[in-house]
Formats: sequence, C-alpha cells, structure tokens
Amino acid sequence: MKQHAMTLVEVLLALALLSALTVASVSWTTSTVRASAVHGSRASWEAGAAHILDLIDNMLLVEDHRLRRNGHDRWRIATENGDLLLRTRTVVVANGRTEVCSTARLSLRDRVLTIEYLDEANAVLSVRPLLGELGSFATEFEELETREYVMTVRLTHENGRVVSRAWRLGREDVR
Amino acid sequence: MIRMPSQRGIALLLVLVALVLSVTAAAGLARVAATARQRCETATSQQHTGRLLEASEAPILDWLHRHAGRLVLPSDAGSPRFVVLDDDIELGGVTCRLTITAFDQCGMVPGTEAVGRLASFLPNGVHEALAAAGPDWLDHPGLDVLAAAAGNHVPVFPPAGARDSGALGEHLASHNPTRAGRPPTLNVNTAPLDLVSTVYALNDLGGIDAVAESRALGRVASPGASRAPRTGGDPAAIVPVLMSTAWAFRIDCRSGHVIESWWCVYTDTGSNWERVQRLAITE
Repeated sequence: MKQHAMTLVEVLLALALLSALTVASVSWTTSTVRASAVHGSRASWEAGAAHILDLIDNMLLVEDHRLRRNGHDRWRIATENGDLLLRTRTVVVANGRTEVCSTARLSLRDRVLTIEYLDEANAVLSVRPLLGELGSFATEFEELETREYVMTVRLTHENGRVVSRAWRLGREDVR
Repeated sequence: MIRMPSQRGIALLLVLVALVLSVTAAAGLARVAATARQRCETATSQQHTGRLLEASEAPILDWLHRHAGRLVLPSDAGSPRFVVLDDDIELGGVTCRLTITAFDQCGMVPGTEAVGRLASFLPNGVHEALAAAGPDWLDHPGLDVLAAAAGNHVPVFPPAGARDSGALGEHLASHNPTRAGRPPTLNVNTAPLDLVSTVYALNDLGGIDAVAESRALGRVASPGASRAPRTGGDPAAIVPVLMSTAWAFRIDCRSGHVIESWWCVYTDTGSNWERVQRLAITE
C-alpha cells in the first residue's frame, strides 16, 4: 500500500514537472516564433540589404514631373564615381523645416552605405547611414536591343554574400 | 524491493528530458519554417501589389476620359470624392483588392488661396501645417510636404471609399492652378455648394441659383453665363468651370497582409491626361 502511494506521488510529481516544462517550452516557442515572424526578416544583413533595394524601388516609383522638367534633361538615374544618383522627390526635415529633396546620392563610406538628400542646387539637406558591413556597392547598366537599360544594383557583404536586384529603365531615364 | 521506485523515477525523468528536448527541437523547426513561409508570402504579396499599382493606370485613364467630364455631386456633398474602382482581382490564385478613389482638385480650395479668403473652408490645424511647411508647399506642391509638416496632428491623405473625412487632401488642392501663372479654377458641379456660393459672392458673380438648382436635380450646371461679374468689377480670381483639369487619386492595393497606398495626380494637357505626381502614402 505504502509502495503504491509512493508510486502515485512520483507519477503526480513527474506529471506536474512535465506540465510546467511543457507550458514553459510552448510559451517560449510561441513568443520566439512570433518575434521571429515580426522582426526576423530584419534581423539579418540580407534583410537590411533587401530593405535598401526596396528603398530604391520606392524612389523609382515616386514621381514629380516638376523636378524633372526643371532640369536640363529628364534623367532619373546616374552614376558618378561609384555613387548612385536618383532624381526623385523625398521630403526631409532639415534644420527644423521640411524641404523637398530632388536628388538622392547613395555612396559607400568606410564600409557603410550612406544616403545624402540634395536639393535642386545640389546642396546637402540631410545625410543618413543605411547599412554597414559592406564590402562593395556597385551599379551596372546593360543596354538592351529595345534601347532600354537593365540596371543592376549589387550590395556585397564583407564576407562575400551578395544581394542584388535589377530594374528595367527607359533610355531617357538614364544619364 | 526498495530500489524499484527510484528506478522508475529515473526512467520517468529520462523520458521527461527526452520529451523536452524533442519539443524544443520541433519548436525550432516550426520557427524556421514559419519565418521562411512568411518571407515567401510577403515577397509574393509585394509583387502582387506592384502589379496592381501598374494595372491601376488603365482604369484611371479610362475614367478620366469617359466619366470625369460629366460628374455632378449632390448639393450637400462635403468633399469632391468619387469611388472609381473597388474590386477583387485574382493574381496567381490569390484574391487581391484594388480600390481607387478620385478627388477633384478643382472642387477644393485652391492651394494659392489656403491663407486667403477661403481659409475658413479648411479643416482645423491646416494653417499650422502650412506655416510649418513654409514656401516649399507652393514651390513644390504635394501632400507629402504637408504630411511631413503636420506630423500626426492633422490627417493629410484622405482614406479610401465614399465617406467624407476631415483629411486635408480632400479640402485643399495641391495642383490647382495646374501651372504657375494660370488662375485657379473651381468646378461648380463637384465643389461643396457653400464653397461655390462663397466664391461667387466674393467675386460678385451671378447665377449661383441656377447652379444650385441644376445640382439639386443632378444635372450638369454650366457656369458660362455666370462668369461675368454682375457689377462689372475685376475679373474673378478663381474661375468657375464646368469640367476639371486636375484630379488626384488614392490607390490602395491589398494582397494578403501587404497593403500599399499611393497618391497620384493627373492633369489635362489639352489632348490627354498625364500623371504629374505619384507619392507613397505612409501615414
């Protein structure tokens, strides 16, 4: 009788311990999965690089004819000493005031990709670092038979990992 | 006989440890799978919203060519908004939603009059936003400038759908006049009737009763006969018109859990409609 009672106590204790461990494990797992689902995509360098490419994508979608018509030509994209210039409309807060940026310059400085927002007179309105640990930042253009261009932007991590994206552009878009 | 229970206990503990390890491993696998699946779904949804945005141009141009010129709003309409499209579209086996809402730029207070005689028609908080935006608002017209200046104090981009809101973008026109040097216009068929009445009164124009009567009957009112000032004064600063030459559109593209919204402005070039501005709505 005493042995049976001991066994019952052991089983109950084991069950209680098992329940506690299972609850803790499930709780940890749920919170980890949720955190991973929400923030996981930004947790890695590749996700940061993809975010930069999304930023460029968005800049290409944003338009303002007034900015392009005020210039000497209708270019939207150019490269200059390895930097990428995007003529686009972005509102930035500079010196406590809102200003409209007409050109964004993406450049690599000390392994950090940096964006400079310029006004129509090419004065720097604001500067912001975008992504670190970069080995190289390159933009390549390939001319198609249709006289269009395919622009490829390639971000390379210090350890060699590459994240890139390509866009098809009209001839007048490229300077 | 005495050692039996402790052997069972050890066995149970071993089972317990094995169970905990297997649950943890399974949870890790589930986490990796869930993250990968969500990343894939997000990428696909973003591709769909991009395609929807690209596809939205055709119905907008069709609407501008076929419908925009003969629209009349009821006399009690609070803002010049129209639902152009609100449809489910299937892309790659996924049901996506495209909603396009039009806002008549010539049915609102012109941007150049925002601090003038018609300022009382604008929602509260607009004047602080305009002051914060400074001269950039008129040099580079666009709701993005006001959104940056207003912060969270005033809603700037109006929401989709048929219901009026107090957002700045459906009461203040960024692209009226459409070009520098031209006078601003007011569409007598789409602007709120009290705004039309005030413009007529301020510029001493006749014919407001005919406009009100036509709108009450749902007929297109023509301001042609009423343009001349009744007392032969200065020409009207704001020209009443029958048809608008600038329209703004809010485009909402939804696929899965991804929603992208854009604000596009189209102006009449004389022979065609041209998109002159496209902004991302990030509010």
